[in-house]
Order: sequence, then structure tokens, then C-alpha cells
Amino acid sequence: MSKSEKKIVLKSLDNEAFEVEKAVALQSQTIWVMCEDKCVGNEIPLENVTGQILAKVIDYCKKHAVVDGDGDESSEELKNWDTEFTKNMDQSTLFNMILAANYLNIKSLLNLTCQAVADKTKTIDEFHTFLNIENNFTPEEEAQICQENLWAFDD
Amino acid sequence: MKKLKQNVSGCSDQIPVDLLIEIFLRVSSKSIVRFRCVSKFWRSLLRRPNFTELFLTKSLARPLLLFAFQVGDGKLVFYTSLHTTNPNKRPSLDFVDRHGLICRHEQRKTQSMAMICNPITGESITLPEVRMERIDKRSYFIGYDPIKKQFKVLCMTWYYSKVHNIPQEHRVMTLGNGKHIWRKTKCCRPHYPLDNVICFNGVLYYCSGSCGLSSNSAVTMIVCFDVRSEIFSFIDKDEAMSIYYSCTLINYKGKLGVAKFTYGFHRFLELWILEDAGKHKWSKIIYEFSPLWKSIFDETSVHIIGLTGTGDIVFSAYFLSDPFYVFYYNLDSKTLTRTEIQGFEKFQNHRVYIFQEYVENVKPNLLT
Repeated sequence: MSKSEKKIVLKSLDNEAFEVEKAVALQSQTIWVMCEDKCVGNEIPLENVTGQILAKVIDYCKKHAVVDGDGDESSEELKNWDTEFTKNMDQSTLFNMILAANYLNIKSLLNLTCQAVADKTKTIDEFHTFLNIENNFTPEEEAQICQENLWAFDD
Repeated sequence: MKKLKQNVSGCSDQIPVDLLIEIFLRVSSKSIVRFRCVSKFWRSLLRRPNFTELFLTKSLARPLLLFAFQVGDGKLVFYTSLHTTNPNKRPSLDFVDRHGLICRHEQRKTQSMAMICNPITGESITLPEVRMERIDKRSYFIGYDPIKKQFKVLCMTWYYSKVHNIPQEHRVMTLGNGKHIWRKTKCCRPHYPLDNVICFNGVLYYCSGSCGLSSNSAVTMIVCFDVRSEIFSFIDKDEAMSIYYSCTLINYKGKLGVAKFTYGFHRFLELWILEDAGKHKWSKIIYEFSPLWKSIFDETSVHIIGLTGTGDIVFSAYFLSDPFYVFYYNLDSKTLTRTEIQGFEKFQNHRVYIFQEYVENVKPNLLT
């Protein structure tokens, strides 16, 4: 295999191009299927992901790729790296990462980002802010529901 | 703040329901109960059977330790914690506070009251009283049928005649079907249940004592109650098995097991595994503890709580102390580790009930 065949170009929604190793990109089932079907050339357009998010996804894939002679990272180290990776992401980035992981079909990244949101949003208010949910209970309904579940609200 | 809202505005419209569910499956059960108060849509989403079933499956794969103890004014307190044998990783406690118990039974001379409660959702019911001409003692066991996904309560009653225990008819009740009615059930071998009980693969196993002398605490046989068919069967002990009410029934790789400590100059863990229920055939495994760990047994009175899915025998003390430990003895590596559980400092000397295979079930109306 020549060197160029091992590389692939990913193009984001805002037309940013990323050249990555094929082994890195193929962790995405979506890209894998595209390559298998040979429906794309060496450049793959990803219409749902912005360059800012795609860069982060590629970081993740690089770390998790098992490239020749480069897969000896201990699982403990990888876990710590994952924790650091999501630690400082704001909610909107995390949210977009979830959508990207889902679209690109990268199971482990989807798992990681969903867990990060779950861990970061412990209170209802945080979820309200994050998902911009509108409370559509009437005041009477809300009072009754909260009364029923009162015990769940004290820490 | 407003700007952030604008940035993510429309997220809730954009985010597909299956991704929302992926997130919800990773939050604590307590958060699920909280999030049901967020909006009508979330309330219905988080009460749907397909969601609660997925949450249960996830919880089954990672059972928790549940601690229950009684504080003043009859209030019961629950805490849950993850299992960990890694000494660097302190388990954090999640506080679950609720009046009631998983199955709590109070008996006074003329009155008896049994309650069943799901500490996660706070749902609880009081069981109707079992009426018979004469009852001195009752036992309630909860069994689960994984095929019909149904809980049933088995109630056994008996009375004392001079020094003998006289068992009476057993009763069964199905939970979650809207009717709370005790049904009679037939059992061909009169028996007297001891408190040791375990339920797995749709069978409720419990130790039975002698119907003879009421002071006798020796286990005479193991009773199996098939939760779905409601049929009793019986397993005899091996002649060499000397087990008492203090033994613990375990799920040993899908087989029934009996675990007990033997005391003497050396400390042993004795396991009896049921190899063939039809032929009443048991096998025995002995584990010897290193003398280094002898002090644990000398200082604290410990009892076996159960066997985890990862092959650790879990044991702990009957009463809360400071520090309070849960011990894990791994049957494969034969190593003993202890995990300190912090947060119980103010409840010293309380009797603590520990369940090591606690599964969080967020289904609404599980009991009614």
C-alpha cells in the first residue's frame, strides 16, 4: 500500500479539511461504510460536523487508534486521558460531540460523551439550561408531582 | 446566561429521543425520579416501559450495595454504593431516604403489619393481613419471575404448640396486577422457614428448620419455590453438611450454594455447591484464610452477605462502627480486600442490613 492510500481527507461542514490516517478515521462506522462502498474518493464530506468539533473527534480517534506498534497504551492511561478529554468541555461542545459521535457512529465516544453529560448535570436546572427544556406543567401539577417525589430532592 | 441559552437553543428539538435515552441511562436512579418532574414529555418518556426495562438491564449488570438501618422514630434509612475492591477508589454513598423497607414486617401480639417498598421510587404498599385462627409467627419472602417479569410475595405462618412449631398453609400474592389478594398454595412437606433466602433464575430458595423443637437452629433442608408455577420442591442436605441459620445462601455461577465460616484455630470459608438438585448431590470447597487476617474475625463479628458476579464473597459486621468496612474475598485469587465505607459516622452501633446484589428499578407502579 502506498503512503497516500493510507491517508484520508475529512471535510467538515464549514469546509475545513483534515488529513488523517485511514486507521484513525475507520473507527467511525459511518466512514468505514462509505469507504467500503467506494462511493467516495479520498475526500469524505461530513455534512453534520463543524471543523471545531471534528478536530476534537479526530483527537479522540488518534488516541484510540491501534496503529502498527502504537497500541500499547495501558487501559488505565487511556481512561485517564478520556476523563481529561471531556473534563473541560462546556455543555454545548459536549452536546455537539454527542451528535457527532452518533452521526459518525463511534460507539466508545458516544458512551464517553453521554456519560460526561450525565455526570455533569446532576440537577434539574442544569438539564433545563443544557437542553433548553420548557417546564409545561401547570403550577398545580408541578406542586403535586414535586410533593410525591419530595424525597428525591434533598441531598 | 442568556447567551448560553441561545447557543444551545433548539437542542431539545434537535436531540433525538434515542440519544436522550442514552444520557438518561447513565444518570443515577435518583436523578431519574427528579427528571420526571421536568416536563410532561420527560415524565412520559422516563415512565415508558421500554426505558425502565433498559434501565433495569443496565442496573442488573452492575448491582449495588444497599445499606438499610433504622434511626429514631422508626424511620428507615437507605444508602447505596458501588462495589469496589480497589483501595484507591473510595466508594461514594448515594443517600436514599424513605419510610419503609424492601419488605418490612412488624409483629405485635394481636396485630401484624407487612410493608413492601421500592426505595428508589419511594413507592410502597401495605400488604393485607393474612388471617388464620392462630398465628404466632409469619415470614414474608419476595420472589421474582424473570419471564413474566413479575414479583410475588410468599407468606408462611405457623404457631407454637408447647415446644413445637406447627406450620400452616402458605399464601402467595402477585404484585403489580392491581389486586392484592392472598391465594392459598399447596405444599406437600410441612416446613418451618428460617430467614436465609435468595432468589435467582425465577426460584426462591430458603433454608428450612426442623418442625420439632422450636429452639433448634439447624437447617434441615433447602426449600425451592418456583415463582412462576408456585410449586415447591425440596433439596436434602449432604450428610456432612452441618449448617445453621447463620449460613448464607449464594448464587454460585448459577448454582445454589451455601456459604459459612468455620471457627477454630484457623478460619475457613466453607462453600457447598448444589451440583444436582434431583439427586441432592453437593460438592464442597474449603478456603483457608491467612493468619494475617485473623484479627478481623477476632475483633468484629462478621457475617457473609453473598457472592458477587465477579466471584467475591462479601462479608461485613452486623453493627455500624467507625471505621466501617465491607470485605471482599476473591474465590479465584484467594485474596482478601476491605473497602472502607464512609458517611456512617453518626449512626454508630446501629444494626445494619446489607444487600449486595441490589438492583435499581425505576418502574412506576411496580407494586400496585
